[in-house]
Amino acid sequence: MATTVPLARARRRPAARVWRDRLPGIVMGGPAVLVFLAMFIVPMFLAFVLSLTDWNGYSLNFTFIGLENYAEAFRNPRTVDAAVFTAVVAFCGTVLCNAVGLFIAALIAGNSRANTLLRTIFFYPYIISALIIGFLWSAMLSPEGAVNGLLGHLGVGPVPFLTEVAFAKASVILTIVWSHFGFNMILFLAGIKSVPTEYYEAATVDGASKWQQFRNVTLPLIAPVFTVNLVLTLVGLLKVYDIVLALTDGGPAGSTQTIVYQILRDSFANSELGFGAAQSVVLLLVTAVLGLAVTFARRGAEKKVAD
Amino acid sequence: MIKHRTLASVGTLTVAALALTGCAGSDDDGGSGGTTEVSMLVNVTPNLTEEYWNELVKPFEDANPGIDVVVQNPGAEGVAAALPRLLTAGDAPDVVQSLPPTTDLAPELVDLSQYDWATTGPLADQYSIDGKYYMAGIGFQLQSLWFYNKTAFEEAGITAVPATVEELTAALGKLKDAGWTPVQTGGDWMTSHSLQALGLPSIVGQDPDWFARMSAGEATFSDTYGDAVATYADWVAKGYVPKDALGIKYPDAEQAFLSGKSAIYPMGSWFAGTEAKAEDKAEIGVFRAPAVDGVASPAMGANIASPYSILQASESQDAAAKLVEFLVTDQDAVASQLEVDGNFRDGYEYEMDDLGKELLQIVADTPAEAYTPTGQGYGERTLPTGYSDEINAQTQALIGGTPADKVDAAMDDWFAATIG
Repeated sequence: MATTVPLARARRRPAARVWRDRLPGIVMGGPAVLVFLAMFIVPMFLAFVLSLTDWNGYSLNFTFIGLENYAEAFRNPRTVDAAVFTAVVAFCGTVLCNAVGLFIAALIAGNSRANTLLRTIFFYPYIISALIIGFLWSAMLSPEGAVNGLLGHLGVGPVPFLTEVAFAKASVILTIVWSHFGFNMILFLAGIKSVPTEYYEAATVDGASKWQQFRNVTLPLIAPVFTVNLVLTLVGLLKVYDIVLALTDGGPAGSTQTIVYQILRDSFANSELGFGAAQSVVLLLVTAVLGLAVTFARRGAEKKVAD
Repeated sequence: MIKHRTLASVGTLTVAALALTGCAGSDDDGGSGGTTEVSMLVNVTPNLTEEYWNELVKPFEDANPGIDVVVQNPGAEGVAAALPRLLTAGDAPDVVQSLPPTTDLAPELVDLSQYDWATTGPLADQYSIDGKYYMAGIGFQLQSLWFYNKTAFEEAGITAVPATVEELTAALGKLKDAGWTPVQTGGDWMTSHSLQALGLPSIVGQDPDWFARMSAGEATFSDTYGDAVATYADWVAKGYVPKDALGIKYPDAEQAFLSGKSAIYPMGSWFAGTEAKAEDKAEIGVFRAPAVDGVASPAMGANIASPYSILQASESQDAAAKLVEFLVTDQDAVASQLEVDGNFRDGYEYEMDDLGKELLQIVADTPAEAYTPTGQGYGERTLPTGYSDEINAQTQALIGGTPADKVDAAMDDWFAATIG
């Protein structure tokens, strides 16, 4: 031990040199850290502070009311209904987007020109503005829209896609899936393409069918992509707003209002920014917890790939 | 209580964040060269363009060379969303347009009680709060109206417009028998418009303090609105209000009525502006929403058109008051604003078609005390926050098949929970 102390001292660099070495990192990383602080940490902190107040957005004097806004968020039937519908959208949407995305990706993973064209077509809805998609489907699903017109030609009576509660909820979810699955498909395609062909060759030699190859080779090896797809879709759908606004405006009878729709109405239309902030904080926490939960739950599957 | 210092700190942080995104920015130097700068936050729409606003205030600037009016465009977020942000950032405008005063907003506004043009203007008393006048507007947006297709009425053998709800119900029956879609309504915000046009003329006509009594918990929705809800449910059951209307957007509903696909359209007076510009349209008339038989003076739902208020934070309140006086009293300025948005005011005429003249006559025939708010209300006649959303959602439920008594019960529960 006696000899190690002088050696350690010999290795210690002068403080000035240490700072000189660190300076490029600080200078280059500093702006990003500042932007992150200003864009994420400060607004989150402000939202939390506001959630403890009765701020109406106008008054320069407002009162701290403790956790009253949080209690109201769990009492208010509109907020609870919106939270439940958001959960349904997030769950069904995540399952369907990933199921459809994976299915299509598996079908068009080949290198033919037709597949390249199909990838573009399937991905295209994802790059269209959600508002435009909402208005587009609103027009198509309206009582006199194209879909009901087509059904009429086939001898089917008009379907109340946007006017009856169950149909409207289903319409919102399916429109979201239609607009979003292209994103999942592209990630799955990237994952499938990254699987070494030797594995498939070995499986073929062993007599595995296409389905067995997909189930026992492809699926396990794209487990990390699955995790990313699940988390991104889940988090994205918990925040869904614009498609709902354009497609149903939360109706009929408030049945398709999502939590973000409710937050924006309470905050700005109803001048209850404190209450809106409380709901935002709860949403933030729920999103973080669910995102982390899915990530941890998928660790087992990913570990198998690593092993 | 958080005082100004704390809020200023919060505001500073917000401004810092906004500045980083390039969202913030103002070159307001408070005036220079002896010129007082008056900033005016206005809603910019396809009709009310920024160019229009600058043209509108130019005669005022010419007559007042010491005052420079700066029109502020809130962009897509609109005045209602922009003002809280500007107040928080300490960058409040001197004058704000199109934002009716509320009890929340009133502490930030200048009391205009000293100005005759504010206390005697359209709906001045209705919008006052605690006896103080916080806004001055240019005219009326009538709400309790039923536009009708004259051809439909002729085909159904209806020779006079309905003067009571009972006559209106009978007329809807005749229209349906004649093969017409009786009532044109739609989804989104417009669903409850028809129920309110049906109910409020009677409810407020019989009880002018209805808004106050509901807010105080002294009256219940089912007791006061129940008859109107039952009548509306009856209209739905008989097919006078189509069940698939909820899937129709506002512009589509408007076009359907304009093109003669339906017989009666409950809508605000601004519809006249659309009708005036439309081509290949049906021949359209209008009648005031009637009350039930026996109500001597039906109430008329109305909102103020283009209200102007002055912010307490303004350092140029006198100049701002001069500007607002010009905007709400100058014959040309008022007529121009009324025309561009299809609004009305007795004594201020502009070139209008027959439908516009019918509406102007309704304004002239309506006594000042008959005007009532609709929706959540305004001034001292307000209902709890969120009422507009709730009545709209429940009207949609009614059209969707929920029985009238359940809708009444849901509204009673909502009032009980909201008022506490």
